[in-house]
Amino acid sequence: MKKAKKKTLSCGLLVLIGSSFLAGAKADQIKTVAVSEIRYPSPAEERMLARPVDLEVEGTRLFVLDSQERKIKVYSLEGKWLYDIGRYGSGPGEFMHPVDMSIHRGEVAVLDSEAYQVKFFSADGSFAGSFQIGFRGYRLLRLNEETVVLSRLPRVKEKNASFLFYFDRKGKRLAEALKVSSTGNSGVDLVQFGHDLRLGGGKVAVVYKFGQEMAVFLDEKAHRVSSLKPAANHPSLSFRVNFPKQGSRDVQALAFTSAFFGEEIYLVCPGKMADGDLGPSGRVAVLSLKGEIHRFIDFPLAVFKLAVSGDRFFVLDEEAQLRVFALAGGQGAGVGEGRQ
Amino acid sequence: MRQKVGVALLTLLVVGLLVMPVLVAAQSHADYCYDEWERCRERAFEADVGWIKMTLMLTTCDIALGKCLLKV
Repeated sequence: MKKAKKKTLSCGLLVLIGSSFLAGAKADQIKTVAVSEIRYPSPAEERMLARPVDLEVEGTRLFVLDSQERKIKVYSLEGKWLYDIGRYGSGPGEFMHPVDMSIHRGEVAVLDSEAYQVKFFSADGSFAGSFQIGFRGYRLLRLNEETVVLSRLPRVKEKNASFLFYFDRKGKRLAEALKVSSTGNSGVDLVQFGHDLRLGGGKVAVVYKFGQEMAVFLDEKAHRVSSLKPAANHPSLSFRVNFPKQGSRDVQALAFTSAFFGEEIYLVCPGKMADGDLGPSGRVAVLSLKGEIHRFIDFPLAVFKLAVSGDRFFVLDEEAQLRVFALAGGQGAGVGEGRQ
Repeated sequence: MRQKVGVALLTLLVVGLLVMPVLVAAQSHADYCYDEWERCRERAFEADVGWIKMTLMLTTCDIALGKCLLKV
């Protein structure tokens, strides 16, 4: 036990990043577009959230999952609050600690990590069932009508553990994929395995925040079908991390967060924050599913969370306030129906 | 011979009865520590902070886990 503590402590001290930020962006030739904020008459308090952890657009509604309030707040695409789904509790239709959600054809799936459950709701908020998953999940994706995909990060010291799990709608485990081993340090594990789960081109996209690989795509049987490497002009930032066994080395930060819409990937580029930390910038890189950068979108604030629907962008700012933007000058395809 | 086997089995049973609760308690304590650690890790992931601060928070969670595991 003493040895375990000693190791944990030494790893803990090793984690700290010697943050030498080296801007890697060489993206002068790529078109940059601006956005303008849409201001609505609805009161600001309707758009203030306690701890929003996910944003999703489905049809003409925006869903925002708030893990502290233990509810999903539903808004119009103009940012007007309409109604809430769920409340705190351990009963049907209640949340202990919701951490992620995914919507498919009007049905909302929510990962409640504290309850070790996935819970389902219709878009109007009525409870539509749940199942147990047997572990604390990290991210959730509804792949299709029948399949729910969950990810988990390894526990400290855990070796060769599955990272992705496919379940059917009733909770039967269908497949596992992507074995990983913990480095023995949670901070370094975040750098190694931190990701979003998105639906891209009908495939499960594991979008990594750091490293050499930007995204991995898996099919409905959990087979890896392709991967994306960052383009040479990808606006990444390099910083130094001390790995417990391998020592100090540079790591590329690729994206703070991501969103998919249609056949495009929206990556919030990493940047230097006002307090000197490494976090989100106001620049979003728009990529094809093959990884080519189409354009950049510049927001007038750091983008902590993002959802996209056509030419409309839903952003959570540093103060957890929901902001709505549109492409300046009327560019874009208009507000779309449904999110890819 | 039969008596010796009986004594050995009885000794094993007594030792088992004495040790089992300790092992079970240790296991449940470790489970508690890991649950708390995962809650701590989730709070770090949800914080709207940059990566360096998040990494520091995660390191604090690891240290707390080490301390918790030692308190058996």
